[in-house]
Amino acid sequence: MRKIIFFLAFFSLLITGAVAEDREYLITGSKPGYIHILDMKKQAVVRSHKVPNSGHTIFSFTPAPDGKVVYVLTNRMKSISGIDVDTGEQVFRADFVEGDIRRQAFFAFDVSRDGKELYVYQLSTRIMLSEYRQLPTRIAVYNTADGLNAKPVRSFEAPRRIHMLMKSTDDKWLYAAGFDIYKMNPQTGEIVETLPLRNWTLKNRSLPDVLDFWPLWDQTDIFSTPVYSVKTDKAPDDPAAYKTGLLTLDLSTGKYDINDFENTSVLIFSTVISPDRKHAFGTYTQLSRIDLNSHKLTGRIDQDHTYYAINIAKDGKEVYVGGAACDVATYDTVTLKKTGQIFLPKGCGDQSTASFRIIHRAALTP
Amino acid sequence: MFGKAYLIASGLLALALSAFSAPALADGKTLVNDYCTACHAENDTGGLARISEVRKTPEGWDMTIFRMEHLHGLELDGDERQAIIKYLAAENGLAPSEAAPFRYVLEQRAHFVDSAVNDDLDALCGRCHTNARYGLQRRTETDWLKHMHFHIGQFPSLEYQARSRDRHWWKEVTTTTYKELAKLYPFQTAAWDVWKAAKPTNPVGEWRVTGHRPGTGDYEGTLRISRDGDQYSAVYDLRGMDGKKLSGDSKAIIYTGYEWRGSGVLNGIDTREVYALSEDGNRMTGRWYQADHYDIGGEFQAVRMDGAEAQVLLKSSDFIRAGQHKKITLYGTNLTGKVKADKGLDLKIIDQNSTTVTLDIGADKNITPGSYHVAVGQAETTLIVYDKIDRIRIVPDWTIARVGGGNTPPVTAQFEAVAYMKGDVKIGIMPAKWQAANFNEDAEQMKDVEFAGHIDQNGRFMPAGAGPNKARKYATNNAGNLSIIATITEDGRAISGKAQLIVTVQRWNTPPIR
Repeated sequence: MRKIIFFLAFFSLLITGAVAEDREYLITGSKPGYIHILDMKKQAVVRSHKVPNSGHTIFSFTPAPDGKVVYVLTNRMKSISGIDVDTGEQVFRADFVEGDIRRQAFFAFDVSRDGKELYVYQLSTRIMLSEYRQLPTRIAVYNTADGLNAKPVRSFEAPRRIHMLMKSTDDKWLYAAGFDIYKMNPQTGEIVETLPLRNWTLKNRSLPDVLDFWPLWDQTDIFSTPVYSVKTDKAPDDPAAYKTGLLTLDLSTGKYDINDFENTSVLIFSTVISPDRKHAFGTYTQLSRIDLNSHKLTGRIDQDHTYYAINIAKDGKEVYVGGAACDVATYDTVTLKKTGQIFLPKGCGDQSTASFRIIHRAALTP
Repeated sequence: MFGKAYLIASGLLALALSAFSAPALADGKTLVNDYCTACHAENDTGGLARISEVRKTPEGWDMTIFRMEHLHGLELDGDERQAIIKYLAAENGLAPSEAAPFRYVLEQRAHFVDSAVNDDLDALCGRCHTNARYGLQRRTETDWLKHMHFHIGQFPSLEYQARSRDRHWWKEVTTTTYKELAKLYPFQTAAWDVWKAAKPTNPVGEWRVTGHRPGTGDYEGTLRISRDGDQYSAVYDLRGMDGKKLSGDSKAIIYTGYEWRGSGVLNGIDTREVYALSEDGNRMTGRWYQADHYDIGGEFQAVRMDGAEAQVLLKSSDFIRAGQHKKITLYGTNLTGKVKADKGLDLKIIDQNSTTVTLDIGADKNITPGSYHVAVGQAETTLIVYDKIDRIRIVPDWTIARVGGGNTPPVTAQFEAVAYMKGDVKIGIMPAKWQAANFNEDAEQMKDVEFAGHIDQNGRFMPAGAGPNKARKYATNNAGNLSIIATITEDGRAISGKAQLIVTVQRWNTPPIR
């Protein structure tokens, strides 16, 4: 008996040793109000946590840099709940409502790289007795250390129609993507630079169309998104008139690019950049691979069904597609062949537009 | 956002009718004061904030009450709800001429053509709503602006949607659009002032009814309306052109002095009625439909018998082929006069009374094809004499159907084959052989015709079930892009017409005004 115990103790030491290693997990969300932690190399769901007072839907979420907490926009976009990835305990909560002012976040929020602050884009409406009054859109900043009744520590006005907030990796800037991409001072909200999108100066080109609320830059710190536009010097029935491009913004260097890569032939919802920065991968009903040097489409396959979100393994060997239904599929980045599929636990409504993030952290014990 | 709840509540206007006792409608004004003034304070003009600054159809007020119940905690019982809607629709309703352009939405038609005054309004409002939705509202300029604030507060995704992303939506609607709407659909109009002051007409009495059930055919008969407290009772005695009886009854409320909303039974099937009384009160037109299938129903026209002029309202057939004999019955009012026809038509009266004239009509073999007059006293009508069919037009020539399942019934599409002769002269609706095919290469590739549903030999397309279909590529749902083909064979020659049908997904949000 003693030997067995000793052996078990030794074995568990081995396991404990493994705990300290950096492990990679994929996080997705599903109705009704769940986040799921997936070990993609093992093709297993290792945690499913119910988000308290979630109002059914998980919108966007962003993990703390140390991968210990995931901040979830939920409760009909009216709250952010911080969930301990390991235990599922709610360790942070910001309910936005403020007296007669209803505030909602439309997907866009991010956590600072030091893990201390949450930046949340909010639409605000004063609910009066017999009318609503729209107030200026703003960015509210919360301290992640403020626990279960967090209130903004500061806030500033921001342009309308922001769909993505991104902290620069040095925490010096806050990027807000909307009509254009605004580079802001995260202390004051001052816009120090406008990266042109609506105000791009491409000749003979329509306004670009972009709508992306999938923060998928976990492996590269490069935000990427498809951009759709029309060449106005081409006939409307000319397929070459319709262009799909890729916008990239490097959150480390600020490098900003938009390049067409094909005549629009399929819809792409979201894209991710490979860790070697040589490729982008996009998903919707097809999985697409784009070469970032030549700006050409280098591969495309039909998926089993439509997915909304895509992310990539640290080693660059696999991409994962999720969102929409209740499964997450794995594809080989070289052959674009499907190599795996995980189904979310029974009772999953659908992933809908939930974020699709990768964290690196100490291993979660089974 | 109100999707499922509305499935239950959308029939309320009509459903409530059968549930409560006729004379007991509570006093609407008192109820508005009891329930609404808690939030809606008295405004500068002595009315109530917001309430007195808008005018709507009864359905519009029903939707407002629904929103108050679901978002702002209003609790009413059925009688109170009904009385408030009736009161508001009477005090702040639409004149008949104001509602007229948009009746297709009130009548719950599955197929209609809805166009905006301009492309901006189509993008700003029409991309989510029918253009009838806002066309059926009248607001002060201030209230149109408040309406914009409500929209963005309630639906924050508005600015992010397609056809918003190309413009500064919020700036546009709060600087330009609300003023444009206030001009197009102003609160104060002469039409409403005149209508509100007019004495209501009384529908009690005998009515001559004619109508058409797409895919089934025409019908005719009588309707007797009597008063039942605050409401009306209607008894129908109708017959299809095949002689089959179509009978039943309904109960109705008349809102705003002309908006007939009934709930009844025809041949054992629950029905809803959306009719409008003419301003002189002598005609009533609209549509009835199955309570559980708004896409299936009938066009309806009723003419008050008392004092009606001599008129033909319907014919058992609109056409005759050269060289043929055909029994054709004319249905109308005061058909007591002498029967005459243009030269080339040979007439024999089989039967004649004041509402029905049955004729044996012969068309000469060498007659010139075209339109020929037939008169019964002062009542005149025309018959088309044709030699041969030149083309088939399917009506509608394009439309949609919706897959169904669970709590959401499928929305069918009904087609009819209309024959034309040379010179593009319409002959009339004819029976045809119906089939569906893939509309284009994409549809071919996705095998839409195998999955999207099937068309029966009455021209009704029944869509397939909803939800992902694992048998399909991408496990996609049973949506499809189809050609609908009608073929009529004449003298051994097949003539075909083609229409387009988009089979699309369910509509989750089904308010009374889409």
